[in-house]
Amino acid sequence: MPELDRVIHEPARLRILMVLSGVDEADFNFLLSTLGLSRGNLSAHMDKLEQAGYVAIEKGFNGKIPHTVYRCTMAGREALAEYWRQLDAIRGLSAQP
Amino acid sequence: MQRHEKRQPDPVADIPKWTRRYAQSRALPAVWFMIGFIVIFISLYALSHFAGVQFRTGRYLSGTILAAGAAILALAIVIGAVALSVPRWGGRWLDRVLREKLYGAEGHVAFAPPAGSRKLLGLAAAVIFGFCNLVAVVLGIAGHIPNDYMQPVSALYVVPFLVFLYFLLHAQVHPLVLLWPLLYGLHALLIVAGAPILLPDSLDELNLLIPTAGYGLVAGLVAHLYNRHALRRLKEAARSDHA
Repeated sequence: MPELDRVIHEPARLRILMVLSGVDEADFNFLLSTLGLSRGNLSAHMDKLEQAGYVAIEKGFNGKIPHTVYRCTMAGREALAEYWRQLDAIRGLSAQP
Repeated sequence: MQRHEKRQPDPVADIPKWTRRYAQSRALPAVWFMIGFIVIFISLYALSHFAGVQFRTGRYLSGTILAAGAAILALAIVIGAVALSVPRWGGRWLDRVLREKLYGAEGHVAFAPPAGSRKLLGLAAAVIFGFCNLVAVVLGIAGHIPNDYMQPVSALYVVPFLVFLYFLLHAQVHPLVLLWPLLYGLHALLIVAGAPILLPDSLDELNLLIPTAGYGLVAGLVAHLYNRHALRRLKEAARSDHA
């Protein structure tokens, strides 16, 4: 039985990575409004994804307002593709008679 | 109960697709730009039209004031257009301000702008487009192109330019923007075919404004409606219980 990546397997983190894999970059507000998570929750998930090397964070300012932009790294994209391969393999096993 | 049930499609797998489509179809800045263009064009047209009326009726002072107003507005348009077409001089600022005003509540999502050779190709296309435009205007003023055929002649370079821009920016913009050159080309074909779609001589300038900015506005509004749909689908997928 293939082992699923625990960092990605958490539903909120999977969705965050899926959103970021569709574009080059997105900011905190976009992820917040799209995923419907609380600020603290999203922030904690982003920290875990950054620690795993799946997300790169760029902190800056938009005028005088702090602005944080996230990008999915190459390692994040590869891990995501591998996660779906493993999930499909598990689903295939469970579908066997 | 059947053991081998057909697997349902996973909405979570569609998240990148809807995120991309949403980001590609954020067309409101373009819509406001088109509205601004139409308002400026109509103001310029009205000023020069009424200046002409004043001169023809012998009221030279008011005619001169209106003509001067039209000239100042035209100069401001040229200076503004040049400034806003260069990112460093104001284009980047305007883009940021418009996006913040129009999409601030939804947050920032973007693709990297084209760089290197693609940037140069875009610049070269813009220069060729500008040159073609200048030649068409000069030929039109010299009487080599009849007024009724100005739009069909312009379609010969406007349509390829817009299609080329789309292929240059296809990662950043949604294919719906191709509606603009499509409608512009169809409009030209209808004129050549003799369809009664031209406005009378007194409203001649609008024969170019409607296909240029009007169809751009239509394409922008269609893209905006699609953008709302994409956002709804994205939120549904991102908040679903699957996977």
